[in-house]
Amino acid sequence: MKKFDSILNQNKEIEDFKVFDVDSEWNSFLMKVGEPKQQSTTVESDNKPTLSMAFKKSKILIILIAASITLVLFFLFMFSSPQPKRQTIITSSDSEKINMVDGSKITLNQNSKVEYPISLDDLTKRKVVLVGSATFDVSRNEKLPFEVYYGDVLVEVLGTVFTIGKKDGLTVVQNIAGSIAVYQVLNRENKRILNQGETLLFQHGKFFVPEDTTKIIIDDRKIEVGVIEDAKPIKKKENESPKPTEQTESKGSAFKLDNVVKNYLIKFNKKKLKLEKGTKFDKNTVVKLDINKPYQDILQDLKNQGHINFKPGDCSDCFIITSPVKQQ
Amino acid sequence: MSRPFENINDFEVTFREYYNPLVNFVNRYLNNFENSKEVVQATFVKIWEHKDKIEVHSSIKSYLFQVSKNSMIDFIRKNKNHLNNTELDTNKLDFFDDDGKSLDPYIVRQAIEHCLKDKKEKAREIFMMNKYEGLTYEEIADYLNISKRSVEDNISKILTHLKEELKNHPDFFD
Repeated sequence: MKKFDSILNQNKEIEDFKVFDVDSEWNSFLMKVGEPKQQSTTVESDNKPTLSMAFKKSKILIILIAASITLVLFFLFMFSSPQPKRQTIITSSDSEKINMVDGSKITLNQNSKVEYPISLDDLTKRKVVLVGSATFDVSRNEKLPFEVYYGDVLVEVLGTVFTIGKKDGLTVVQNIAGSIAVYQVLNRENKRILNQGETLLFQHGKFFVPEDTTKIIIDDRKIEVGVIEDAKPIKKKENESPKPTEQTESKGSAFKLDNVVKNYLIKFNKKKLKLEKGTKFDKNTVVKLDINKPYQDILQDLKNQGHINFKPGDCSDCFIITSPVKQQ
Repeated sequence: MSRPFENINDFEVTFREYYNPLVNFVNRYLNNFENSKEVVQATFVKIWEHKDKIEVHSSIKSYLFQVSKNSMIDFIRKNKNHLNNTELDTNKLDFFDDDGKSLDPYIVRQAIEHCLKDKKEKAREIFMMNKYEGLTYEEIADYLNISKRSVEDNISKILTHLKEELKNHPDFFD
């Protein structure tokens, strides 16, 4: 047992284990050595029972019975069970393009798996679970945040194009358009915001920024990563000028106010923050914030900008968010 | 001393058992799965072409390990001008062992992947969180909002299944 446990522990050091299609690799080997391809490629190392002659003789009867049972089960299923709301797609040697019901597109790379909703009824978010690597082109829907769970990283977006993959144990998130928030699943306070063109790496609970993002190439087989710097903030583009709708007083990135309050502040600080009943925000208001600050500082920034007000809640760090004080 | 590779069917069994572990093992050094597949294919082709002369003095695993190590070194020598420096982790080449034990985690990993393939998503998640991410049973139970007992049961079932899959590898159990 001890030896097995020790070997199992060594598995933690295996960062990127891929399972290739052994059938096609075996056929490839046969071609190389000039042996004929085998029709049946199911060779098992442990002996499974094969069809006996007696069983073959009654094959037709068995097929008929199986077909009848299947038909009965099908009708029972159709009339009793609810329609499945999620679907799983697994790729092997080819990539696959998936169109979601909301218009979002997923390009699932080789040897990957994705689970996604096929109906948006009664959902509060569009939750996708990914293994492997994929590129997402997310259609904008402020009422339904798009969340991609990738191992111990969560990427949340409103509408954008980004790619997630893995290389040498590093999770690589490359944002191509729009803005996304990337969280550690087990510690939501460990998060970063990625603006357009930025790339983020994640490993063992830490976010990293590659020194030279031009070396990042994500495809279905290879990610090249440049030198890694530890825990530096994401560099802002020096030439970026503020958009006309942005509030330019404070530093940070631009977000919709409604989204910041409901889908970020309250969602990830449920025990500390509440929204007072009847509080409404202008859904078109865009605010400029440093989202990496503690929630108390973000609340104060929003209040200073005149977008919200807040009052103490039931605990020492608790607050109730209210409508902004009307300027006279 | 034995000649285990004379029969194509026996050879296929060995190929299927060791292909993925060898590719992933070689990839640890080459950092490129396409090259790693090429090296492992070359390994098996070399063995097959010399099958009449091969006599295995140790285990098949150790033998395959040795041959694939040599194939990897040959590959590196032939392609050193073409290989991207970021792909090849030359530091790790200094730490070869010679008895094939380095292959064990990959063999176990293949068994794990095969075992987990048919399991429910929750059981997979629990096992991976414990064995790959190092979370305790309590931490997993808290995160998934399930009982600690449920975590233990899921992991225990997968481990039992794993040991059944690996019972033909006496190297893994004392």
